Amino acid sequence: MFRLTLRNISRRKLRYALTAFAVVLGVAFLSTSFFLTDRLRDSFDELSVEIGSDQDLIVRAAVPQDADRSIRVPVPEQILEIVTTEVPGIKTVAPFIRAFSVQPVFINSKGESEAVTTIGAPQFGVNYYEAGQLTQYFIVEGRPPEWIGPVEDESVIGEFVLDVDTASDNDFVIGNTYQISGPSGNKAFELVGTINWRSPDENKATGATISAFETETAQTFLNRNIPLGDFGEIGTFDEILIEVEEGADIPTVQNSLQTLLDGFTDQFASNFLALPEKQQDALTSYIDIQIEVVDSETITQENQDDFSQFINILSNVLLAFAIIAVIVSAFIINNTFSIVLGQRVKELALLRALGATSRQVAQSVILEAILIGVFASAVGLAGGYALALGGQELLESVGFGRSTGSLPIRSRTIIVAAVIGIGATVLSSIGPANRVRSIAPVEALRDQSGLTPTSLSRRLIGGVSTALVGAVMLIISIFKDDLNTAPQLTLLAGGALATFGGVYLLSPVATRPIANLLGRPIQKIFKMPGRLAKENAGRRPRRTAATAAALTIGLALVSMAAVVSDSLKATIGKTLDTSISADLFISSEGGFGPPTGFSSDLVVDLSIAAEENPELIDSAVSYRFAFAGMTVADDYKDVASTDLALLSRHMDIDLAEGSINAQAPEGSDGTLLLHSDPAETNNFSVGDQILVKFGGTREANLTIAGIYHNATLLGNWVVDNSTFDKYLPQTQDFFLSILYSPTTNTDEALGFVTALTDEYPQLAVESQREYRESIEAQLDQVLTIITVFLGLSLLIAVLGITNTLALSVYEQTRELGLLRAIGMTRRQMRRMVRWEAVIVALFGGILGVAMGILFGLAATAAIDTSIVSELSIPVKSVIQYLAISAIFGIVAAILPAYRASRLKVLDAISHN
Amino acid sequence: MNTSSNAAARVVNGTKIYGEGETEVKALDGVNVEFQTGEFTAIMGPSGSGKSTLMHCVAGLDTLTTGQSFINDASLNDLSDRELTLLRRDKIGFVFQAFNLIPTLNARENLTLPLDLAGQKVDPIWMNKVITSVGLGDRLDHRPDELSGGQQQRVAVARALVSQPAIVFADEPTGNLDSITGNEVLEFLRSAVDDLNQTLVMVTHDAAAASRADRVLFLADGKIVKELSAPSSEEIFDTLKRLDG
Repeated sequence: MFRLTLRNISRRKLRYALTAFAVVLGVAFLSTSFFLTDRLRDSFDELSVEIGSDQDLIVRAAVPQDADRSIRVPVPEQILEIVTTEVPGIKTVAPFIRAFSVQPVFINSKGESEAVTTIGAPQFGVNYYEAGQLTQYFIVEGRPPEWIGPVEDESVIGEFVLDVDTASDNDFVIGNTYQISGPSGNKAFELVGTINWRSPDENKATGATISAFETETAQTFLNRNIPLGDFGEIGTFDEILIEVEEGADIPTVQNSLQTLLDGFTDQFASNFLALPEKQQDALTSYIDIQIEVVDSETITQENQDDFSQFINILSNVLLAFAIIAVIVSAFIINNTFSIVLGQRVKELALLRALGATSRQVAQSVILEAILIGVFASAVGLAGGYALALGGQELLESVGFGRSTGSLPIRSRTIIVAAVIGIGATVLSSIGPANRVRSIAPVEALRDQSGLTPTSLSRRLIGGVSTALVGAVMLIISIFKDDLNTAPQLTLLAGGALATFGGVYLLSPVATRPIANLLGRPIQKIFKMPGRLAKENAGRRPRRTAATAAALTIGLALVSMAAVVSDSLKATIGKTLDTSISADLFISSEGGFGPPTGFSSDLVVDLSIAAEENPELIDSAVSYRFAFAGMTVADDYKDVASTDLALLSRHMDIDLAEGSINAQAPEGSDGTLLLHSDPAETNNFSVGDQILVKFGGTREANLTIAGIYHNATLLGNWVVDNSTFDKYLPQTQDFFLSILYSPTTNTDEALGFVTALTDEYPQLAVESQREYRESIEAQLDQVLTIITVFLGLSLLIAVLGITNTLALSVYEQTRELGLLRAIGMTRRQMRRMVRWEAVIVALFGGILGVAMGILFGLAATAAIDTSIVSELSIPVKSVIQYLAISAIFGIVAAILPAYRASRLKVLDAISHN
Repeated sequence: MNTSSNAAARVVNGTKIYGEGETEVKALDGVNVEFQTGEFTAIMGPSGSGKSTLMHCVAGLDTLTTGQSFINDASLNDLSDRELTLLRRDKIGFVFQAFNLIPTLNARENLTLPLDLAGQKVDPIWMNKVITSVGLGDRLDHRPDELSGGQQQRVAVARALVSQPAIVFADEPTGNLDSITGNEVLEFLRSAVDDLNQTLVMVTHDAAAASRADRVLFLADGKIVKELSAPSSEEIFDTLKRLDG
């Protein structure tokens, strides 16, 4: 039996190759995603170890377990002295300052000033230091930056050095003076040198921008000084890096240092209470500061965790798309097996007549599937490896990841690829194999023979009940809004899956009517060939349905994403139309990665301008966001801050009760606005005083001033900027809105604003319309990425149509020969095959788009109304998708149509 | 050679060679033949005698290695695939042994298929005449799988006639039928010649079938070896016996 199976495969190489190709593509995608993410994980792990081992110990402020580490406060500079002088065993010490979104500005080739941008990589502002083993910056050209004078003085031009890559990419010239946009605003600095990061020979900061300043200058410019009014200011550092003397025991040094610093913290707390109130306010974010000493292993672990979080998301997304591709190929394998076995009934019956048991015949089919699965998985793995090599180069070329070592081949990759590749092939052959069992030996002698398919009535019952279960699940997920995200998503996905299964089972029933409907105009235009195309498409409903199903899956997902995205657009559009009265928006110019903050100098400047020109500008409001920025009942919440006194003039958050700009009562640390949903769940009402902890540690008693309905704009929790100033001083302005005076001259007002923002070339000033367009463009980008990832599934689906058509052409050889004999031209024959493919593809497209819209609407309805409140169907995209389906049909038909038209008439007529 | 324009089709020095060198087979070896308009010719001969090849080469389904074949006075040599296809569609009718009809079209649609492919209007008078002669009546709206073998072959013959071709080729048209229904089909073919003045060439094994023809050509080893005019089936039988022997 095994030899016979091998023969069968080798005799029908092309047919099996086509089948296997679908599996190969699926497995290749799957393994590529494994290879690449393993590669990234490895290189990030290496990098983490490397960075972690730069120093032996780090002194820094502690951050609670679940809090966002980006809200870590710096440590007072006095600690440097304690570390340097009071503990034995320490060899070198370096104070370290690192700020984000520090962007040097240069003049580009068009003569415009432009801020340095990166693709996702951070833009650091740091302090330059040389400290033995701890040194991270190595001068390439020029010299280190030096102290010139206090840079808060406008007339003082400080010095800075820039990483060589950023400098050469943007034509920075040593000796020239450049504006640098940082957390405390824009200042001019002279470039005195270029540096390599982390190695004297090579800049290892691929992709990132590093601007380094003399330490005291950095403290001022990067906002590491705490102003104490009449008492001057306290300087701080983000971290203190320590190299331990050779022979000294690191844990011992760590412990004695920790004890010493605990003492300092206690001292700090008791001193704090003795301070005048004004000073206490400035120091609020340090009240319960805990200073910790951590070793290099901890740092390495933290970095690895951060990276792996990011990589896990990436790999899960890739995996999901790969699995969709594999599912699509499973449909194609199943269909091909059914068709091929149908064509081989006579041969199998002959085997039965010669004495093979029905079991042996079925087993031979499964064996074929296993062999194909093994072959396809192996080829897919190899292909995936090749793709991953290409992908790695692509990533490196855009400055993402570093080229050390080769792609890791994990046994997990091979096992998963093999299990999924072989599993999908074998599973999809079980149905056809079972039907093969019922072949009677006598069928070898019959003229017309074929496999007995599952009865339509059984399909009808199964289809209707599965679809009903799916619909019920969808309805529950839409209307039960007190569910958590996970069960709701499960219901939604399960419902969608069941609906798809039901529709798939039912679709053969709809094939003929839909094929007739679609075929009518085609017949009108293309006469007889069109007519025959229509008839052929409706001729074998199961085959057509199964072929179309592959396309249905991809298009359903694309349409679903399109509906969700369009609903988001509609929601944003409606919000802008009805809730926003501000005229201009300012934010950092997009690109990849999270938006970057900017100095609050800008809103101050704009507010002064508004005061001086009330006839032009009414006011400017800034917005900041802290993800997991505070806890309410020990639960981390995303929180926004803004200028509550002015907010209601710029936007309408649909206040349900209370007031937006109420004063905090005596004894309260500020006011809080919250959305009606969390208000209801927490049983909060206006006037309540609740205890929150900013950064998970800094307690504040906030008074609930108002409860609102529209969470689209600012999220669920909103406080005043002054509260952030006090408790989360590290957060920067992310967004500004500007309101014109009612009597303004728009052009003049815009000119006024842009004159101020020109200093910040990284910022975009947008009108309501422009803002809306840029958000829509971002959503379109996401949709494009999703579509590209689904592209492989669509490609496999096209392959499936080609495969089915080729098999049908083979089956119909005699019929085609007859048509040619009695006068059908080659062109007419190509037309006939092509339009059959278009009908099949459109059938799949229509089912896919219809289900996609349904799922999209269900998903939109299930998503929290604070994110999406409007339902919208993107009619234009839907029409596009259908047009694309038709084009897929035409493309899929190219080869089969060519083959059909090239049949030799005489051979075809006598074909058996 | 006589260049009579009365011939619906003819072959001049037709030779057909399959294969090369050792495996070379001469299927037709210098054949000269004419098919007169309104004449019913049967071609007979043992398997491998070249009778089917002759028919295929006259009908534009295959090409001669050397020599020339004509439909009316048009040479088939050097025609492109498209020209040959159009020639078959407009000038030639075909009836095969089996699988003559497109299963997705009903009898009437199958009947008019050559005209539909040509995008031509059906001549209603002629159409009526043909339909009446098929004698299928209300079964014309049925699909082939709902018709008997005899009915299917009659539809096939009618289809061959419907475009008023210069010549109809029938390849063992009764080979798959029992003798009664086979007779009906032969009757129908005969009446097409007598009533409609149709030129007809039929390849057959069956002496009884061949006896309906106006003349019978006998082929052996790619050559026409004998020609009988309106023979009886006994004469044909005897001739075949002698050829075999």
